[in-house]
Amino acid sequence: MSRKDILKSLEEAPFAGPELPDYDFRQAGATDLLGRFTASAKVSAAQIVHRQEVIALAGKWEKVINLSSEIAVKGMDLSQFQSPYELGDLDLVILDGEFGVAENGAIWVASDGRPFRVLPFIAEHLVICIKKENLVGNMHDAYAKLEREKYSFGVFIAGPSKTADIEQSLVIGAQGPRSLGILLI
Amino acid sequence: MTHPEKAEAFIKNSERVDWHDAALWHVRNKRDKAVDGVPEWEELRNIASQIKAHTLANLRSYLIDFEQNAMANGVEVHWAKDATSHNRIVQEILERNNVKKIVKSKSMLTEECGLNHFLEERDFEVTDTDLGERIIQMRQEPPSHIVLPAIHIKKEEVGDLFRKELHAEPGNNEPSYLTLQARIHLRKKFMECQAAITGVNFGIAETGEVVVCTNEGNADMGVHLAPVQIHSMGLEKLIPRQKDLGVFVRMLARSATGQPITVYTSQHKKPAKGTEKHIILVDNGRTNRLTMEKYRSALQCIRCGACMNTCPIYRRSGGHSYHFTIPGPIGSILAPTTDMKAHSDLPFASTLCGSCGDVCPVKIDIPNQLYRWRQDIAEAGGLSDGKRKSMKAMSTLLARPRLYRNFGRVMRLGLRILPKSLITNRYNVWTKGRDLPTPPKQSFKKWYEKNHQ
Repeated sequence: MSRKDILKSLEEAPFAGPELPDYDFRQAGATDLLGRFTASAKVSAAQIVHRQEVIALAGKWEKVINLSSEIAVKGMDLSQFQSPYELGDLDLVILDGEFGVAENGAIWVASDGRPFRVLPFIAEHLVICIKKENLVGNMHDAYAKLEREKYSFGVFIAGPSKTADIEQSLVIGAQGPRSLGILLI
Repeated sequence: MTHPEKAEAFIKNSERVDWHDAALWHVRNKRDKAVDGVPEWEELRNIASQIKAHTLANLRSYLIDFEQNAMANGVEVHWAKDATSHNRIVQEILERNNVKKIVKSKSMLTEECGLNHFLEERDFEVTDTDLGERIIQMRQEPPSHIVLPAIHIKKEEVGDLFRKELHAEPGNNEPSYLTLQARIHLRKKFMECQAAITGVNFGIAETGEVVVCTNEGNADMGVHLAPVQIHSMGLEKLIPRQKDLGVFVRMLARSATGQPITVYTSQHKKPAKGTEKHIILVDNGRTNRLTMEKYRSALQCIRCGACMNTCPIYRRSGGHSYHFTIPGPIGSILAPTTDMKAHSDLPFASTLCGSCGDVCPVKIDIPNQLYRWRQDIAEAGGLSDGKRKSMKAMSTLLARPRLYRNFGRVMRLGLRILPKSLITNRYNVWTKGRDLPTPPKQSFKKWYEKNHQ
């Protein structure tokens, strides 16, 4: 039994370590969250988009899923899909993010209340809508917020999928979305 | 083959060495810029180091907490004391679910366990889905870097490989084109996969969740499509609280690639409806390493690769010269804990310049540990004859001031007047691939006496 063996060997060779440190690096009262968030998002190769641009984008593509409650764009009915494997050729997914982080442009997207966890990853293009009032300073602020939230799966998304695995050349669009638009509301 | 022997093959092509060196130095520079943007960086390093040291000292109780909380989330938790037991657990899960096709995202742990080979021998199809990993999988070689697995390969070679494997068009070696070919190929693999395997960056004891960080989105594609998900996690990946992620997530990508955060920081708590989620907790030598007081802090490592990018030896000898799953400075202190004799060359693959210790986000004293390993290896009689004899000669010389002064005088003269062939020859390994400096006319002592009286 591996479990017994592992726990036993840990029990047999105890040693002292430091206390769990206490710390607080939250940016209480941070200013210009919007400016900083926008700048960070651009560094991550995301695009800050306007409502009209999202509407135009949705009009351009055939297979669109809109789960956002912030923007009225007609999309496909998700209930027609039985399994995530049927979502392989989606053009555009639009959904709402919970909050954004100014220091790195990341947006927290939780899966709860939505079918198919793969939706933020599988489409060619992704648009995330987020309220300007839901921005925090840094990751410490972000986790302070998450402490109060229940989620089954959640992800911080910072930009479109990317890789630099071939000679350190940055290429946007690896295995996930090839573009990320952020609609600030 | 030892590190110097393997490195010799790598440095034969000096153009390639320069290119490799520059590519990694570029990443190191990006890391510096990113770190400079965080004024509290040094404080974060101290805290990160403390959190890790604390967790390791209390690993037993945190593991039990983690297991309980993960189980409460509906996750099946498995324990594997070694590589074989890890691989068997994976096999059993796959067979129970009639899985034949598996997608796998980057995981140094499964590399350490030889999982791909194990599964392929049993007729499973395993596809590595990180681009760099897929490239080296097609080339049937191990990763040469823990974050940038294909950093040793040129785009022309990737082009040739993709023409052979993916029928890519002739002559097109553009990274964007090649990446697109891989995307199309991997998309097919994702749509056929029946199970997904990932590594784990952090496991959170208080919530039972696992965190997986990627840039490509490949881990998420697999995990959210496949009805069976397996997260393989080394025991040392545990951290106590969700709050502590704030520290580690801020440090990981900045240290690794100079990004403020990876594109995806995915936090897996509960399995999706109708799917099953497994976490395998793997020991494979880790609890044994914890008993080695001098070397246990190496288990604090968060696998960012910063020590590799900054290491002058790694940059100029390539990851494959290290003959261990984890190359570079951190690998050189981890390897001897598994088998000192087999890896007795690795602690010497360093100039002891200390740069690895300076960039380490969790403050592992890598240079000191390299130095300590050298002493332990020497004491155990693990030095080569040449190294042992020259060390002995040096200590005789350095312990006798008069002899040292005379020797210096002879060397300064000798290096100036002797023919080069007498100094740079095959018996003097120091001059392999490098030259000696022009000797000064006088000793430092003489110079000091003259200038600072």
